[in-house]
Amino acid sequence: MAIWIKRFTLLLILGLGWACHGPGPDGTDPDEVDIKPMGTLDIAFVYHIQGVPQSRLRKVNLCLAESAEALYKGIFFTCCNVSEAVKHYQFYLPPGEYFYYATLICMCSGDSCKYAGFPGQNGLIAAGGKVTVVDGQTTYFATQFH
Amino acid sequence: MRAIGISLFLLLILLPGLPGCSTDIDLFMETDPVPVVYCLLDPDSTVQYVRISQTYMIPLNEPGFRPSSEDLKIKERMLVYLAAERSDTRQDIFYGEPVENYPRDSGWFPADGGQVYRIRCSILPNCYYSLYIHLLESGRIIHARTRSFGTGFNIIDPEKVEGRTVNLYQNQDFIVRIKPVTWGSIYQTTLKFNYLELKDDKETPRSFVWPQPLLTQTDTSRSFIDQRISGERFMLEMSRALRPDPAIKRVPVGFDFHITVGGDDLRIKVNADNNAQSFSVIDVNDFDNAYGVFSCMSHRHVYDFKPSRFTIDTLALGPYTGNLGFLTNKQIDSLYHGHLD
Repeated sequence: MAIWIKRFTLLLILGLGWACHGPGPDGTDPDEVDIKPMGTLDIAFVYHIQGVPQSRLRKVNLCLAESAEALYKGIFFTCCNVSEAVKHYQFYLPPGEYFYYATLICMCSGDSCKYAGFPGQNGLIAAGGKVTVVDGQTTYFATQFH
Repeated sequence: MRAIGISLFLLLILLPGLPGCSTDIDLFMETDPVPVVYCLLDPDSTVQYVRISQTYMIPLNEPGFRPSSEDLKIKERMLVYLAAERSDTRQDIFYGEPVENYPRDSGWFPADGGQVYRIRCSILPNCYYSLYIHLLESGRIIHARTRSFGTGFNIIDPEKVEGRTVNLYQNQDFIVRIKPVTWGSIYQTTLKFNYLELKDDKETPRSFVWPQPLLTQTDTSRSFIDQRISGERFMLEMSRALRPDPAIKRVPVGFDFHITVGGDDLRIKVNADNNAQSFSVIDVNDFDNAYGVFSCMSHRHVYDFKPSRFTIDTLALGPYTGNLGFLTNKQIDSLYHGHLD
């Protein structure tokens, strides 16, 4: 008799347990988490400009655009806070192709900035390019100023 | 047998007398007030200030007792001086002079409460300083010792760079970076967001001041100390601080940062005060013969960092602040270069 009670209890518990894993009121499985594919983009904001001391150069911004056209028009979907103390900037994004835009400013007086390829004192130079973000991976990329 | 009888007889006489001997013990006896001293040496100034007052009793039947300036004043002459221990054999002494009508903030204590002394002295780096207050009538000497900052206080970020803007919104935090200060170990950033309120063709400058939590860092070998200011939290705090008003339009102007560093002694004191497990704040005390704090403190203010276009649009259209009347970039451009949409 005791064995039958135990078996009945076990079946009841199993049944209840099964019921807990049933679909939710909207028909979806509550245990199923909606995981969107995402990847990491790691951009090293680096520059090697000849003719200007490093202490007179500053990063201005680092932004991402969704297309080359948006990059050209200056329509970005995100920009980050840049710092001279930080080299790597990370973005967590859905997989796909993106276009980065990074700018540098030259703070030298006189013609030094012009000789280094800047338009002049407090002039900017920009770097841009295409980067690809892959699901579950980190894409490393370094800025290239010409 | 006779002795027992006498003892019983004495006991019977004494027992009724015992309750007559009991008196209430006064747990709240008036005691001598204890001096309270507050001095934070400022390495960026040539004048140091010492604030002196004293403890006071709160009457049991008056829990909301507010002390008068007389309650806080030490009623005896005193000599205040600062000793800079330049080396084992050299000590420079700087005497303090009383300051009348020292301006102070309003608050619980009377504005003219306490005594303030001014000491004309520039603070040397990495030097031990002793503060002495000699109470001349009672002959008591109050003393504390601290060490000045070893290095200058420099801010790495935010840095003023032409064209650089502040991104502060959901998923985009701003990080304040500070060069570690030797013998300085408690830091705090206060963010001030400036904006204009437009109502009936009238512009009124307004500010939202948001102090960040205290940051303790004793490791001076790091290349920088960072304090993260949450973008999402900024938007949330703005939504709590400002009231929506359909008649008011708002234009973001910029961010100011006020960064403060305190010495090791201040860090110990502040952390003891903030520690809920600490039974009494008097446990940690810098002074002999007084309560108070004697340490170093330095400030840096950096002003007018423009918000990024993303920050402006998030303020105008974001879920937290979208109802506060902030204008978008396009509307601001129209406002200042044409007509408002």
